[in-house]
Amino acid sequence: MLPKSSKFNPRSSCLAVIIGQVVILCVRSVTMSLIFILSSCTIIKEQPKFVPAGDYALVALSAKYVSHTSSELVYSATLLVLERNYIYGDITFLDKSSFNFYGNGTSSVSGFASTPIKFSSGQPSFFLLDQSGSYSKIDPNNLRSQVVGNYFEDCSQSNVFQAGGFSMGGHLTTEPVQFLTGGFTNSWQAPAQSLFALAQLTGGQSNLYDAINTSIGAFGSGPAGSKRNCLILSHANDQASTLSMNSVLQNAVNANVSINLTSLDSSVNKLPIAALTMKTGGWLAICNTPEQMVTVVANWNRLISGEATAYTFTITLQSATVLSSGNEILTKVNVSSPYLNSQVNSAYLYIKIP
Amino acid sequence: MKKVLLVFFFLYSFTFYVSAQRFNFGVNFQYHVLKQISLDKEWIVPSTSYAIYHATDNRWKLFSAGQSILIGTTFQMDYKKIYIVLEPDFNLNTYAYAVGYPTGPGTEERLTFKSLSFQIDAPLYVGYQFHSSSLLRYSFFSGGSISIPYHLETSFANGAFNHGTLYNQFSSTDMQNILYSNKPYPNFLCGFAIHYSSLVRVDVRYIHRLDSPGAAYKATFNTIGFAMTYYLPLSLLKKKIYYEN
Repeated sequence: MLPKSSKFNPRSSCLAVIIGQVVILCVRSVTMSLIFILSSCTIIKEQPKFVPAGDYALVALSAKYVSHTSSELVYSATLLVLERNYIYGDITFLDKSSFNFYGNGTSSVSGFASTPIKFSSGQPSFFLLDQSGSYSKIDPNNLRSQVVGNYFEDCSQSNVFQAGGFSMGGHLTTEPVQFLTGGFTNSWQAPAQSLFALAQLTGGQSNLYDAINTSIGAFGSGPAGSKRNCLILSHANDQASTLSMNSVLQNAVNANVSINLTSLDSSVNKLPIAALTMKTGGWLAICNTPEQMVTVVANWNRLISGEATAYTFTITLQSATVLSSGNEILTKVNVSSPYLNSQVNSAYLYIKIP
Repeated sequence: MKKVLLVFFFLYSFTFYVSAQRFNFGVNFQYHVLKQISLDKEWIVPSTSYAIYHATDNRWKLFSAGQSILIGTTFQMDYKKIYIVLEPDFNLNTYAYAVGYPTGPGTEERLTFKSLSFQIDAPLYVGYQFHSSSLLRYSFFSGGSISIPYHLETSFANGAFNHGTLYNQFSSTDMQNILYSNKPYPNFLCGFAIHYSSLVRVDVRYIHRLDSPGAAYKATFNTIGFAMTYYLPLSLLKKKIYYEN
């Protein structure tokens, strides 16, 4: 009962009652909430950035001539087998029986070792993305834009890079290369986002050689480095370049530019791209699936400025035809192992007999 | 003396023997089905992957933008025509937001990001009743609430993908700190209620989230749903009710 005192203010007492009730209800609801919260687990954990799932991939790092006779060619080769998840690096448990060599004759492996390799670091790189034709069948979900963005971020940690897309007669605003960056930079966010705009500009024909030549020219006016890397993601044979492969190759050798190429289409003509890459000290990966491409591109930065554990071979080719100076030999390498539960892409080794 | 009395009544009110004109306790059930999520930018760059999404799904949607089911308690105090309600609720809150992922010239893959949040909501609002002496009354109410998420699950859907492929190629957590986060957030709410005696109340309420889950994007969340409260027949304060008309 409320007191009847004349000195008492009923409004104040009501206010006190209301505040009291609100406080007790708040205490009860907070207690109830705490019980709910403490009985459950929370919440969002920080995770590394997502990169699409990859698959095992085989990369031809090098092929070097050793000796030859009219019927026999001896050369050395270095191959790298990448784990399907790029953060796990390389597969190092294979033996030489896991590798099969196919060419114009019979190949036998006389030397085999698993060898650590250190790539030169701190060098500028130029990324080129093939904008010709269509990716609707070879990369329908545009995984390339995600994984190349990952490369940009990795690369920006220690190197400067420049990027562009190339095609002729397509939708690019500048030809032979539409640049994604104003010059060499280590700022990766804007170019990574531009990759998605580039995905909407596919069309026309490939002008691979002209684009490589443009990147070589950019290195000439760019930062100094003992070795520069041109990284290419392509999927078509060159159809529209004004320059020949040989002239571009010579320019690359003169400018000390390594051409490293990842092809998304295994039906491309292998000989010219194998020659371009192997003769300039670059590597070549010809992928069958977008997942293999994801693995290779996710390792790009490591393959130009990091370390790897690769397989080195000394191979003797008993040729089915007479070998002579100037001959170009292309050898296909397959890898198979019961421990690899999916099909690995083939690698291609290029040798030109001096 | 006045201060002493105020303190006395403040403490005395904790015993529940002194209160406002009526104190009701009930249980409530809410179902929110009409939702809108809108983002202030056309392109979303998540911090959890290297993807980019085209945000175009800013419409109000019935059911397909997500649903919320809330079950909780209602503590209501009446004072003349005004009532104050505190509703601690368990909220099973879902959202769905569709985006486009650029794949080629003029083509986008459509992905629907979904979030499921278990959270505690604590709305506190004030209402004003009309025809308060009638058996059937109506009222308007307005207030705020705090939502405290304590468990989050994310997923997404796309008809063209099988489940495994979708999760291999895109990150289901890409809307983290864009459409959801684990931080508590405030809401504004208002609504219209119909009361039947002191037994049942049915209301329609509009809830507007007052902050965005993250700083990079301004996300607006609007929800409309209905609630039904059943007051337990516990007369916690047996006092005669006086209303001023």
